[in-house]
Amino acid sequence: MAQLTFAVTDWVWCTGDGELHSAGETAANVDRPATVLRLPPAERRRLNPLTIFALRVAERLAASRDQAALRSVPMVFGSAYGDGDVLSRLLTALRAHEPLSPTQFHNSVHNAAAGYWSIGLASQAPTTALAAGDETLEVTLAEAGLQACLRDGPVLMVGAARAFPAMLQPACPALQDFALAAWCVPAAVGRAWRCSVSSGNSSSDDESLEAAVRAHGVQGLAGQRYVRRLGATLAIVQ
Amino acid sequence: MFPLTIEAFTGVCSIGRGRHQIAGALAAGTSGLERNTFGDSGKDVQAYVGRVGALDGATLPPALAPWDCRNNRLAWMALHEDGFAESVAATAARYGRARIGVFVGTSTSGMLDTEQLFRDGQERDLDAARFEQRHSFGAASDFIAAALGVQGPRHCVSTACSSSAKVFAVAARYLALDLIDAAVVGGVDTLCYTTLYGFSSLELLSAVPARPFAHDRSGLSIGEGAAFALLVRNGSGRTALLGAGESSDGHHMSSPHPDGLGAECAMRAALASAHLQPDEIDYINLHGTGTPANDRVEALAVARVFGRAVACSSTKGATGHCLGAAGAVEALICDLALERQVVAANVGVSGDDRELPAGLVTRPASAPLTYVLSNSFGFGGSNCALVFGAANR
Repeated sequence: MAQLTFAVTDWVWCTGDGELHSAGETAANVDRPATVLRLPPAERRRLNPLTIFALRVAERLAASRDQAALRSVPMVFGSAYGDGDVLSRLLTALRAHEPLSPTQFHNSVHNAAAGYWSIGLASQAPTTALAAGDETLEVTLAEAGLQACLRDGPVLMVGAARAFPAMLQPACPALQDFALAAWCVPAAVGRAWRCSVSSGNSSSDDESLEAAVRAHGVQGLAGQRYVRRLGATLAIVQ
Repeated sequence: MFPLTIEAFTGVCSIGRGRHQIAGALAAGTSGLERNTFGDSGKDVQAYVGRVGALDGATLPPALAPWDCRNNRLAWMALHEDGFAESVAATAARYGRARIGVFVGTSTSGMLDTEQLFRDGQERDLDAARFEQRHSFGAASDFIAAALGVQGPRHCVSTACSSSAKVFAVAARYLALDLIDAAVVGGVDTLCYTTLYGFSSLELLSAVPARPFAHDRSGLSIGEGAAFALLVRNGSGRTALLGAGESSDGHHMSSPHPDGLGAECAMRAALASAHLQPDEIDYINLHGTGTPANDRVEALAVARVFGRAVACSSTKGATGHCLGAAGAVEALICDLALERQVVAANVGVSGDDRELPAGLVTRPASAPLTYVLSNSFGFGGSNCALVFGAANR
């Protein structure tokens, strides 16, 4: 069975309480403020809540890296359901037959966080934005791992979810706040964690991602509804 | 990573259902744009749209009823043109259903379903299953995998108007590392209130049918469409994906980089991955939305990479701008150009009022085509260029 193996060297995650955690090199500095992106204050104010949440973990993870090097690194963003805050504003306006806010409209694209990331770095490196329901975290990590292997260099993976506002709760009742940023590198480079993605109906004895993150104490991941094994499987093992 | 053989490629948009109708409309230079009367948006959004009329009465089979929404209906319709679903079934029989990936670009997904509930005061009917299967960004890839009965890795890419070009690059990566043996790639986007009112709020909609590259162009016309290709490593198809290049503008959420720097990076990356020189490209299907900024900047970037003479056209004056499906619809147009050796026209612009690229093709024209390139650029500065050509070169 074909298998993709790559490594995650360092990661930062955050849940609804706003506290940042790290399992890697960033652990010592995780509480320090980090500003990597050069976004004018007016642009920062226009960021949508999901983008703010995603960029917070991404900036903390990237803070120790050289700016020039960051500008050449691809970024892969994933979110199962996007920004419910922006969606609720758009739906409220459409219900009332009112004009949409241009800012809310351009922030409604799924690649808003990826776009602002490249804008803040003035980077021409590729970015993308993925969604796959319950499997979003797996496919986002897999895409970052594929890119890391094929370019033989690091790729920044960012995943984010935010609970929907009350008016949209029925659409996503189980959704909880969670954001994760991770450096994905070819397997030979990494030392902290190793990810493997298998294709097909796997019967291997890889730990499931959910079991692995629970074992390693990444509380923000365990139990999230989008962590599920199906189709492509992904495991993080030490 | 390349080439990847195109085993099947079909689509549906405002100018036709399936390859024959779409090629016929392109050869005739006809436009599918009509005055916007979508839902009750017509009086608020005075614009032209490229609508798939047959969608209004379309249905899904009972087993797929929970997925029923305009976007999934359009996907279903396209999957059943030109024997596409049968080609996928034959490929799945050969490699196994778990070895077929599904990567779909969409910007709207089925958000119309939720919008309509709110507009009708029926939002109490919104529930998690309905949202997941119709509206959510991942609904399209789940639906298409269910409709085709394939079980490999799948996801949606949603990077605004480059979405369904970027899925070709995703498939190339999965195939390169042998995680799958074949990929269904493409895009589907449908008319909805958010895009009609949203582009209107940005003052990007033209009050007349979009006329990309005209000196007096005044904006875009939104279209809807779906197109799907079946890619394999070594197949029997006559055309192939030869390269893909992705980049960012790193400039602004809704305005292109003023010099087209990101667009240039994507085109150069696509050429490099195809091992081709710029002068080997015989035709470019431009992104060409019809907005003053996009067309000016794209022309600058194309001229820097390819010189001024390269044959090129935007087909959005015919199809409308299919947003998240534009990359796949225009990849299909490139595939048809290679098959029929005919360059599609930049509909809506006559020979003397074009402003920008010297090689702009204003009437459908026969031409020997070996290599063609398609541009797709999206909000957030997300760019992708694809190169297609004969499979056996």
